[in-house]
Amino acid sequence: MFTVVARAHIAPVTKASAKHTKAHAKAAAKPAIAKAFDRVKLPALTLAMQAASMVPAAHAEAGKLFDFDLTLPIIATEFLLLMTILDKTVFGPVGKALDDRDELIRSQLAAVGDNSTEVDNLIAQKEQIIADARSEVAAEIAAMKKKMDADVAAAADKAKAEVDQQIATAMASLEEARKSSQSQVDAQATAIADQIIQKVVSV
Amino acid sequence: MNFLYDISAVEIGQHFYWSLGGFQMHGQVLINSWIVLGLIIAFAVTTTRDLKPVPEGGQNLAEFVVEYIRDIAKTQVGHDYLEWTPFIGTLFLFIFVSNWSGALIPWKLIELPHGELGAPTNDINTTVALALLTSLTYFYAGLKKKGLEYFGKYVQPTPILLPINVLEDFTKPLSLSFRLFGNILADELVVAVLVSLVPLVIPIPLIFLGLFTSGIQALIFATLAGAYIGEALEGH
Repeated sequence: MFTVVARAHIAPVTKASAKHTKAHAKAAAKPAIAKAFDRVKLPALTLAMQAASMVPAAHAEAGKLFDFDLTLPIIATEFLLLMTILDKTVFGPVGKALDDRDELIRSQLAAVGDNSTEVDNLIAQKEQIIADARSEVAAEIAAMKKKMDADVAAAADKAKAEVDQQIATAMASLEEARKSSQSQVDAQATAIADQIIQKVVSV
Repeated sequence: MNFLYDISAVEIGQHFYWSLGGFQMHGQVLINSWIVLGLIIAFAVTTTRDLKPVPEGGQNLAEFVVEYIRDIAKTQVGHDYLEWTPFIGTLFLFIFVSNWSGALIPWKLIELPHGELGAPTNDINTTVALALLTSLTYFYAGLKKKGLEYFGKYVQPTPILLPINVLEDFTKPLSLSFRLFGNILADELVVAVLVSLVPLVIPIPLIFLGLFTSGIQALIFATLAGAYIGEALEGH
């Protein structure tokens, strides 16, 4: 990821002399480190030279962490460009798709909610129908009962009238019989009385 | 004394310089940023080519990403979050893909004359660019919503806080950029050093840790950007 330790010292090569002398001074001070440097320096130097010759526009410098340059505005521009593209392709359309789906689900849920009132209506209607049927049946039953009562009453009246009639005729015939028998008795009594009178008279 | 200067000099940030009209650029950062841009745009185009009411394949991922980012924007920005979703989302995606690209793509296979390819976010230019854009965005958000009244927040709740409030506008981009830059650079350096010591197996847990912190950093940057925008939008 980074040119750590060794390669970091390759950097000044193209800038050449100034750094070289520095490195030499160091070599005198610290022989061990210098030997290590020397070991790396030769291949590194050739590598750097090759690279430098391949890309003439590029030139190396010592690494800098806080090195502000044209990269900053370019990255900012790239970012704004990316933002525009993403807004057009992702955040706009996908966001719209999400919102549309939200809307759709909401409307469908609302429709289902309406359904429930419809169901309530149907239930009320059913109750009404059942109540109607009940009252109708009750009325019918009442009418039937009334009629039956009337019939029974009529039949009873008729029977009573018949019986009364029969009783009346029977009474009449009885009266008749009583009258006839009384007249018979009267006649017999008169006859007997006459006989008695004759006997008495004859005596 | 020279020796001390030599060993104390920070030489890790080697750059592959390009020149344009007398200005210099960091070639390795730009190359990587193009690759990252290419990856993100390829993802964006392939997953959203054919959007259906019932998502299929890549659309699921795109929707997940959009919902995730909307969620961040919603919690941070608040009411008008949809307007700022593209900015926060692009921040998140760009930083996330950049960070992970530094750890997951074998850049070593591509030899540069100087410097090395790595995550674009390990360069201070990138992070400062993103942080400055964030600053501009929240200023823009505040000014757009409240006009010049926006600057009234500097004397809220009391004028004594004016210097601190002004200072905040400088510390915000500073902390944003340095946090990201430092985390990613440190992560890559730690892995690089460990790889140079033990080339196999041992660095793997550290690479995983690096992936974790990379994701967290992207989330933090996006979240803070959202929070700053939300702060600029909220009424006092």
